[in-house]
Amino acid sequence: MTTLTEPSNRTGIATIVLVLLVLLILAMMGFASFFQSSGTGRTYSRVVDIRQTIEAGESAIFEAASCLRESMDKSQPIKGGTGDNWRELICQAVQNRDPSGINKDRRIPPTLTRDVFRSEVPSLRINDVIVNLVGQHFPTYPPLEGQPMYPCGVIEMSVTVFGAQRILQVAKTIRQRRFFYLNAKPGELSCASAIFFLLPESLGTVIE
Amino acid sequence: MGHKDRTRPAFSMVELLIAVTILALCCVPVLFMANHNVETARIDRVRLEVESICHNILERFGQASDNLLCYLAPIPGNPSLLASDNLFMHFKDVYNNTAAGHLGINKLVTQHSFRMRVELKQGVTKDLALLTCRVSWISDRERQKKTENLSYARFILYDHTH
Repeated sequence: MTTLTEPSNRTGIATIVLVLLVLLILAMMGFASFFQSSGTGRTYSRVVDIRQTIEAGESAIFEAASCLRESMDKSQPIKGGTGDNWRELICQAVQNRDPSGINKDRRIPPTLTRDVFRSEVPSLRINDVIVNLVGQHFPTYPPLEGQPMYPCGVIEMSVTVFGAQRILQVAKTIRQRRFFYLNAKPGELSCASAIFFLLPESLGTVIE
Repeated sequence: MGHKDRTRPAFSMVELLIAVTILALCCVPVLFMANHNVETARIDRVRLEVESICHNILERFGQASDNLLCYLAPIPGNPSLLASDNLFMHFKDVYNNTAAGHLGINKLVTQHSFRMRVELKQGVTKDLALLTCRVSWISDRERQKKTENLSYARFILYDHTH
């Protein structure tokens, strides 16, 4: 009769325990390596994603600014989005000294930016650009020497871009403000004759 | 009988031999994984450097006031498209930076066949241009060479003209 304390059985048990221990260690190392590799990959993708969302957001704002200028120059509504005529809107806001008529979730679709960035990163999602009038005033003083135009106000454009990564998705809102100028006689503003200038340089970029 | 069991060592020589063999086998995947991770880090380092160069080109020339046009030439048959290959050759002092953490452009060109093409598409709209930086390089993981491509794009907004 054999018992558990006999050497042959103890060898078998010890071997099984050792094998199980080794398998456990191997599994732990495998998981650790997998998680390390996966974590590094995700971190790297996230960095690239953030960079892409910022690039796409800035480009979307540039495109929106270009659309806005065209609408100001030609006094025609922008295609898509909320289809606003920005010349009329800004004229009214400056004349009435009241921006409340403008700031109603007015949107411009960045169609070209979407085409360009989706050809590189198909799952990148770019929302419409939201335009707000931050401040405006109607100039009542003559222009300073050498300055034919008056700063009339500040327009803010913001856009939210969603990154390509599905897990822990990157979502960044890019916000820029620009001065717009007005070429008109002090105290007089005719929407038909006023010429607006929207500066290419922003007052800074905020990334939220 | 009980006295004999107490004096016996906890593990026999065979048990110890098995244990040592199994533990030694454990080191094989550790070595493999360490090598794999080093390879991954090496490839990622090249990719990061390339991404950095590509992105920096957009930062350097991504404003309307920058002098990118000095370095670009029009493409025959498409006057609105200006392009330049390997623009970094004009800025050797900048891109030959081999300070700690940088591979340097020379290594990228010689060891990884790094190539760059910068394009400026003018007149996308009246006052908008599209700047694109495309790069390609060869990454070699475990002696298997693979051509990688990357592209960054940015719109450039010019002055408001009437």
